[in-house]
Parts: sequence; C-alpha cells; structure tokens
Amino acid sequence: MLSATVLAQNTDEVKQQIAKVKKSSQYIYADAVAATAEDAAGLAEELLYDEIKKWGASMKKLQGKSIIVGDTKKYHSSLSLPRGNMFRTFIYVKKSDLTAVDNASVSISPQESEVKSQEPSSVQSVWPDVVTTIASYTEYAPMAAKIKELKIAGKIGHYARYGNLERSEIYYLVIYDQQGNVLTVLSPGKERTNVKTGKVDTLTNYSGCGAIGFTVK
Amino acid sequence: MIRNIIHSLLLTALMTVIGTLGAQAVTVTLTVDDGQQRTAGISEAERNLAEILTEINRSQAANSELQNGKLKMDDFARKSLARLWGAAHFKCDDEEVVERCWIFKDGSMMVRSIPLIITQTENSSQMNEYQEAVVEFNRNGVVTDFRFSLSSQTGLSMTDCGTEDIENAHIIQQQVERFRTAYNTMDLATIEQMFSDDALIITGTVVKTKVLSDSEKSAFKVVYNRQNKEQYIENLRKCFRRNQWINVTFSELDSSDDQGACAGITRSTKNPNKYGVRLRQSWKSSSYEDEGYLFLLFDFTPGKDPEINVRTWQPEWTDIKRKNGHQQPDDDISTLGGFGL
Repeated sequence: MLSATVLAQNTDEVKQQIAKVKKSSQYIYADAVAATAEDAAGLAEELLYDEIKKWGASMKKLQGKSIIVGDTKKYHSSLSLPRGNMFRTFIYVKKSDLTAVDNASVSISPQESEVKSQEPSSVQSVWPDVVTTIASYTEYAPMAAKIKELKIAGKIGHYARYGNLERSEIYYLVIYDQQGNVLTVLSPGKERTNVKTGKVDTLTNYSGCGAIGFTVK
Repeated sequence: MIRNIIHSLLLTALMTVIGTLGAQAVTVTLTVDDGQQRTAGISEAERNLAEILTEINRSQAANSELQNGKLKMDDFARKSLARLWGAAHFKCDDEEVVERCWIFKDGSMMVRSIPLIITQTENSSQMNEYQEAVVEFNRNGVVTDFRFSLSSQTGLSMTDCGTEDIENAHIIQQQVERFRTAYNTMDLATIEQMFSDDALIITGTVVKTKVLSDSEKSAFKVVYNRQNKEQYIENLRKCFRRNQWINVTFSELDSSDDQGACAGITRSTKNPNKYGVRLRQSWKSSSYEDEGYLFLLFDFTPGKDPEINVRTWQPEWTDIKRKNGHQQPDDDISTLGGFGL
C-alpha cells in the first residue's frame, strides 16, 4: 500500500512537471503513448523531430535556414511514466538551444549536426555500416523493417519517403522498383554515388521507382 | 467580465464539492502556437472542457449517468458523448490537462490527446485501456464534437504523407475518427450519413477450397462481395443487434505491408477533392473478431459534407486463429488507382 502511494505521488509530481513544461512557451515538446516503453520513446523522438521542423519553418527569422540542436544529451530531457495499460514518454527541448545555421539540416543528434554543417561529399570510399547493411537487402519488405529497427536502435536519424523529404540532397536514398526489388542505395549530395557500384549515379536513372531517404547518426 | 467571475466562482465551488466527494476535478489550459492570437473563444473552450471532464470524473466515481444537460455542447456533441458513455465509462487520467489548441480558418478549434482511461465496459479486454479523446469547438468555445481518437502513431502516419495542407489532413483524420466512433457506439444513423447514396462497399471473405491432391490439403482464397449502401447498412443493423459490444481500432499499415504506395492518406491527381485512406482495421465484438486492411475513398467536394464513396475491406489472414496465410493489401481495391483516380 505504501509503495503504491509513493508511486502515485511520484507520478503526480512527474505530471506536474510535464504540465509546467507544456504551459511554458520556452519549450518544444512531444508526448507519446504506446504499448511498450521502447515504442513510446521512439515515437516521442519522431514527434519531437517533427515539431522542431514545424517550429523552425514557422519562425520568420529562420526562413530559409534550418536549425540544429548542438548536443541532444545536454539539451533534451525525457520523462517516462505509465498511462493506463500503456507507457508514456514526454520529451522536450528548450527553444533557446536551437540555433540557425546556413545550409544545415534539422537534427537532434550531435554527430549528425557535425556532418550536416558542410555540403555533403558526393564521393565516399568507405560507407557507414548502416548504409552497407541496408544496401545488402534485395527485397522491399525486409529492407523497410530493417530501417525501422535501425531507427529505434538510434543508428538512423530520420527516414521518410522521397516525396516527403524537404532537402532530399542530404539523405541516402534506397531505390526500389514496383515489384518490390531493392535496386541500390544512392549517397547524399547534388551528385550522388551508387553505393553498390561506387560509380556516379543519378535519381533520373530510376524513373518509375520509389525511394526512401534516410540519414545516419 | 462579471459573468466570467461568477462562472469561475461556481466552477471553484463545484470543484470543492467534488474534491470532498473524492472525484477528480479537472483544470484545462489550452496553448496556441507562437504568433497565433489567443481569442476569447479559447478561454471559453478551456472552461467548457474543464466542466465536461470534471462531470465525466464525477459520473465515473459515482457510477452514474452523465449529467450533460447543462454542459455547453451542441446536440451532435451531446449525443456523441452520451453514446460513448453508453458503450463504456471512463475517466480523465490527469487533474491538469494542458494541450495545444488547433485553430482553423473558420475560427473553429480542436484539441487532441485528452487522456482517458476506460473503467467500465461490457468488453472486459478494454478495462483500464488508455484511450485519447478529440474535442472540437466552434469559435465561441461551445463543444461541437467529443469522440475517441486514433492513436498518435496512426495520426502521425496519416498526416505525414500525401496532403500538403495540414488542415485537410486534420479534417480527414476527423472523418476517420468519427467513422470509428460510430461503429464502436453502434451509431447506425451517423454511419449511414457518412456514406454517399451511391457508395460501393467491397468486402473480402475467406473461402475454403479443397486442393485435389493426395495430401488432401485444404487451401483458402479470398472472395470479394459487392454491396450497395442499402445492403451494407441493413447487414450492419443486423450485426449491431446481435452484438453486445464492438471495439474497432484503426492503425497504420506497417511499411512491410506496403509495396511502395504511400500509406495513410493519398490525394487523387485526377480529382483533387478525392482522398484515399488506407489503414489496418482490427474488429472485435462480442461474437466475432478479424483483422484486415481498410480502404476508404473520401469525397471532400466544397459546399457539401464529406462523404465516403468507397469502402473496401480485405482480411489480413486467411486463417486468423493460427495467423496463417498472410495477405498483402490488394492494390486493385485499396488504392485510388484501383478506382481510376
């Protein structure tokens, strides 16, 4: 009975903290509920990323510029608690910790922000493990499942279908045809490289195909 | 001004009484995006929603009927909430609700993610289930809808793909949520209203076939049945009569189900008023359950209420009990292209 009371009090305190952050105009936050704690955390991160993008787009002084968070561990906080038969994660970051940088991309990962502060290289001789892993898949369904898994594991920063990418040149692109065959992965950059062949390649060579873009953490 | 003061005093008194009786009074704060103006309607919406959630908690604690006669809601919202209460009792999980208020072009407002816990229902598997509510208001803060929402993950996948206009995405999500709520509250009138008169309903059923071989192994195939609106509504009426409860949930398609077409919402390039929505549907009722792929073709022609022109459903499994015979969504009946759009 005592431990249930203590748990209830702790939950109440966490809820009060969450309400305080939500009422303050100083923070961007995401609040997610899911069947497992891991899913809730993953979803909260995805929602926070979306909120940061939307906020960045709406800020007049940030028009035309993207935003980065310098160090996610330092600036982003997370609270977890039960919610009925599910799990809740509340994640938030202070707006003043978001800075405008020319030719950068939205990121809440320190490694990704360092990569994105320069124009991405169009030729790379060594690919990150995540990229070679994804490039090894030949069928759409297992490839898509792997991307999801890598995202939850924190190895992929962001992924989306090509049509939803705001700055597609900063993403690796997995190309697949209408039969669900994975054809290749193209590197980021205005001039892309085919990860499988090592040669210069372009999206126009894959007319009629679909693509998923992803960034690497 | 004086009226607002009296209103606040009455609400405080009510909350004090409720506090002494043990039920949880609720306060509501609605936030707006940077640069957006806070209107008088928002403050009214906060007060009205607080009263509704407080009354929900009072009724739940007392295990009594909702006294919604004096709550500031229009008839549609009142009936909607009453139907939800008839299907299950619930309470608000937070004493202090802080949520973002979406303001649309016509001044109407919407608040999502109101946290509810189901506490009493005929469907025992729903006990203690977390469920979010969506509340809509007119520009004066009067509640115009109270319904259960899709999961935030499903909502994200719906708004993350296909529509450029976030307001359209919310309207589509609203229609899908109303559609789901209507099934769960066995609201046949609303379902009938949502379908256009010439709506086409296609339902896949699993048919057992026998393979003529020495192994005598049975096989299954999916056969599609077509119904018009009248036939579908009549069959649904019979279904509602024979079930004590229905719990329909919609969720996003996994990317592994999707061979490249965009999951969630897609807009027709041939007729931009038409939108296709693809979801996974889980149907549980007191007499039956299944899982499958749902496709809805919506018509959002300006000047008239949104309508569903096509509803198709196909089973995900040919043998749901053993989860055998996994089916992919059939693009011929679950994409805009399948209907010439």
